[in-house]
Amino acid sequence: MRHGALTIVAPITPERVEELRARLDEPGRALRAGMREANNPLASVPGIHFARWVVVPTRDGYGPLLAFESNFDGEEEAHLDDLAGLGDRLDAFYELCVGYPEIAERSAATRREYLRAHSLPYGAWHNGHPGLPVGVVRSDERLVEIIQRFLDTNDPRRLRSMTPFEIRDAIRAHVREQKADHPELVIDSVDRGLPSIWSFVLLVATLAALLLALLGWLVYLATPASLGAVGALLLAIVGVVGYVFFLEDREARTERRLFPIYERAHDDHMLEIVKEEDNQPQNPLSHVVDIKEGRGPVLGFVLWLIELLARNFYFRGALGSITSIHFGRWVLIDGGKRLLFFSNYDGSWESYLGDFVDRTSPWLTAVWSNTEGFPNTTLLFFYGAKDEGAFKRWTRSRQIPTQLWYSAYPGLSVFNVLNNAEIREGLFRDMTESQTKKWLARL
Amino acid sequence: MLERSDIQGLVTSAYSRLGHATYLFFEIEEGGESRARQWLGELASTVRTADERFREATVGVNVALTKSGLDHLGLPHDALRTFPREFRQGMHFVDRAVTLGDVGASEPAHWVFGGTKNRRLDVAVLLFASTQEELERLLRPYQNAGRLAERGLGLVHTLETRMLEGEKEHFGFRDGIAQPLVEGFPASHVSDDGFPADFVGERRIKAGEFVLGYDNEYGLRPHSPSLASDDDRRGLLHTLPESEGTRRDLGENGSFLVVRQLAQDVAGFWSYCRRVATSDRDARLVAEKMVGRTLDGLPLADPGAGLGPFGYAGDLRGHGCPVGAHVRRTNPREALPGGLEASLIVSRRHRILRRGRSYGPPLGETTRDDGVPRGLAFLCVNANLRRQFEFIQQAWAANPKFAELADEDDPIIGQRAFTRSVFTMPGEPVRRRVTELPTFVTVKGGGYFFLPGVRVLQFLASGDALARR
Repeated sequence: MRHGALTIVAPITPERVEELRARLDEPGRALRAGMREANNPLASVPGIHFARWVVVPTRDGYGPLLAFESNFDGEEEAHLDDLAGLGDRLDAFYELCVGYPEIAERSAATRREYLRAHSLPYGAWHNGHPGLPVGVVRSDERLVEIIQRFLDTNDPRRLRSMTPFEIRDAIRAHVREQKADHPELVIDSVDRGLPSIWSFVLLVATLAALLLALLGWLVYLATPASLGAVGALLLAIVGVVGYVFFLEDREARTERRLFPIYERAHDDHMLEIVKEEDNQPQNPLSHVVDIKEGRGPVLGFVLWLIELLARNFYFRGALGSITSIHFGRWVLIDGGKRLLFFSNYDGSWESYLGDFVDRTSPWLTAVWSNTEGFPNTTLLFFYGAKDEGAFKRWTRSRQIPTQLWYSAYPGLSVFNVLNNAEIREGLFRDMTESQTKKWLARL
Repeated sequence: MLERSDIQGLVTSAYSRLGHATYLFFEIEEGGESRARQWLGELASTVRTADERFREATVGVNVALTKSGLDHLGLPHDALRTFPREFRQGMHFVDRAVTLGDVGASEPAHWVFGGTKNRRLDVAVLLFASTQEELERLLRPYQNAGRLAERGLGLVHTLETRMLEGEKEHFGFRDGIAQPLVEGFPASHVSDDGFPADFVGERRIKAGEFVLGYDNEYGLRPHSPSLASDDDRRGLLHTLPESEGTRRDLGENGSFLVVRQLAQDVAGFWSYCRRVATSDRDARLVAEKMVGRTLDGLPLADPGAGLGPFGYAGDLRGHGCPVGAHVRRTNPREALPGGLEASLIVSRRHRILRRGRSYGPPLGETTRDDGVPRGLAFLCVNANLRRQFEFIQQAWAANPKFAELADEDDPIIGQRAFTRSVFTMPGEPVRRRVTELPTFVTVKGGGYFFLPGVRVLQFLASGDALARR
C-alpha cells in the first residue's frame, strides 16, 4: 500500500501560544507515559504510522507556528477527511491559530479546507519501510511473538535434534492453529509495491545517454553555433559548481565561529527537550533552522536529489548509511526562508546523532551546509558533521520540543519492522534448505 | 606527548600490582571550606601521577571531585557552568536514570551513597597499596572523626575493595581482560585491547578519549572546562588555546571518573542458570553465553585467541558469542551492523578505561545466598561522560534494539527496564532463548567525578578563584 506524508503549518495567534502548548502537552505527556488512547486524537485516525504536533516558537522575527506531520497509509484526500473528522478535538488546537473558521462556520468541509490551505509540500521525505500498512506492521509484531513463544515452549535439546524443515513445519502448524483463533492475524504475503531498482538505473542511464547524445550531436555538427552551445553547457556546469565552492570559501573566511565556552546549548532549552526524548526505543526530533542567504536554489537541488534517491533507491530501511529513521522529512517553511526537519528515529539522541557523525553522511551535510550555524563544511557535501561537538551543539541549539508525538508501533525498530515482514513473507513460501536456515536465523 | 607528571595515575593504570584498595567519599562541611582547601593542597603534593618515577611505588593516592565539591572549594559559577551538563547534574539526576537504566531497585532513591536521599558527595579519595598494612597506614589519617572535622570533612561512605583469586569477579568470570591501548600511555600499564592490527592500521586509541587537552578519535581536542583568565590571579593555569587568551584551562590533563557500586546477586545468577539449563554443564554454558566469555576468560567468538586480541568478524551471526552478550554489547568491535570497518570506527569512539575491583567476600558458584553484600566497585575513566560511559550504558547495554535485536537488554548488567527480559543465543538449526531473566546486578550508589590534573588540583586548593564569589 502507498504511504503518504502530510505537513500542515499554521500561524498561531501570538498571545495564545502558551495555551496551545498546554493543550498539546497534556495528551503528549499521556502518550509518553504509555497511555495510548487517553485524550489522544491521533489514535483514532486510521492508518497513521507516525504523527506529531509541534509549536515552532517565535524566533528572529518569525511568528509562532503550529506544525503537524503525519505519515499515513493510502491517499491524502481520504487522510484529510479523517483529520477533519476529528471535529472539536481538532478545533481544540487550531482555534488558537490564525484564520481558523469561527464556531458557527465549523464543519467537516471548512476544517478540511483550512488544513488543505495550510499544507506544504515536502522537500524530501524518507520512508524506512514503505508499502507496509500499519495493520500489517502490528500484526507482524504479534505473529513473530507467537512464533517466538512457541519456540520457547520447546525443549532446546529437542529443537537441536530437528532439521530446519521440521522446525519450520512445526512453526507453520502452530501458526495455522493460532490463525483459526485469531482470524485478523495476517499470515499471507503482502504486495508492498516497491519500485524496482532497475527502473531507477534505466532512468539515470536514459538521461545520461540523452545528454551525451545531445553533446555528441552538437560536436558532430561542428558549426560555430553548436560548438558554442557545448561550450555554454560546460561553462554553466563549471559556473554552478564554482559558485557553490566560492560560497563555501567566502563563508570559511568571513564566518568566525564563536568559541564554545559551554559545551552544550542553553540549559533551560535543553531540559525542556530532553524530558521528551531518550525513551527507548523510538524518539522524535524536531528541528528548525534559517537557510543561508542565497542558498535556496542549492538547497532545493540537494533536496530534489535526495527525494529522487529516497523514492527510487533508499527504500529498504536505510537513508544512505543511516538505518535508524522510520520516517524523516525536510520542509521549507516561512516562504522558503527556514528549513524544518522532522524525524522519527530509533534509539537515543546521542546514538542517532553519533550515527550522523560516525557513519559519514554526505547527504545530511549537503542539506544542512545551506543553513545558518552549521559547522564548516568542505565542498558542501563533506566534513560538517565530522566536528562531533560542534555538530551536536548546532543540532541542540536549533532543536525544538515535540509536544504531541504518536507512533503506531512504539516497540519496533526499523529493522524489526522489516525483519518481521520477512518472517511473515517466508512462512508459507517454498524454500530450499539454505533459505530455510536463513529464514530461521531471523528469529 | 602526554604530560604524564600532571595526569593522575588512575587514568593510565589500574594499579593491578597494588592489590589492596579502599575508596573514601567525603562531604565538605559548612564553614570547613578553607580547611578543606588546605588539606587538598597537602594531598595534591602526594598524588600519584602517571610519571615514570612512580613505577615502582607501592602505594597510590588519587583524588576526584564532584560538581558540588568544586562548588564548595570556591570555583566561580561561571567556571562551573563550563563543565559538561551530565557532570553538573550528577549520576543521580532524574533524567539520567532513564539514560543509564537506573530504574526499579537501582533507582537513585534507594542508593546507599550518592543518589537523591543521602549526604552530598564532594570528594573521593582513592587509596591503593601493595599490602594491607600499607593501606591501613594510608587510611589512618581519615579514621578519626575529630581529625576529619579539623580538615572540614565529613566521611560519607567507605568502599573497601578486594581482589578475588584468579583475577575473577563474583559471578566467577575472569575479569579486566580487555582494555583500550592508548597512545602515549605507558605500555606496561595496560593490557591489549584486541583490535586486529591489520584492520585499523593504528591500534592505539587517541589519548583525547581519556585525557582532556589532547586529540581524540575525531581528530579534535575534547571540550574542556575553563575559567576566566582574570580569575587565575597568579597565573597557575595554562591558557585554553582556542580561547585566544580569555580563558584558562581547567580540564588540562584531567578526566572524568565514574563510580558505581554494583551489587551482584551471585546466588540468583547461578540459580537462574540452573533453572533454565538442561544440566549442570549446560548451566555454565548459559552463564558463559550471557557474558560472552568462558569462566576462564576465553572469548566465545574466538576461543583460540586465548586472552589476547580477538574480533567478531568470524562470528557475526553470534553462534559463538551471542549478539546480546555482555562483552559484545559493551565493546562491539566489528560486530555492529553496517560493515566491519565502520563498526570498528564507531566502537573506538565509545570506549572507557575500566578501573573496577570487587568488594565483599566471594560466594562461589552456588545457588544459596548468605546475605552478605558483594559486588563490583565499578570505576571507569573517560573524557566525555555522555559519549562514552553513558553511551555504552544506554545505546548498547540497555538498548532493546542493540545490533538488530528485537527486545532484550544486557543479560548481566541490564535492569530489564524497557524489555521483556529475554536472552537470545543464536544457533543452528534455530536460536535458543531463555526468558524471565531477573536482574543480577543492582546499582547501590555512586557519582560522577572530575579527576583533575595535578596543576589544576593545586589551583583549586589555592582558593585563588574565590574573589569572584
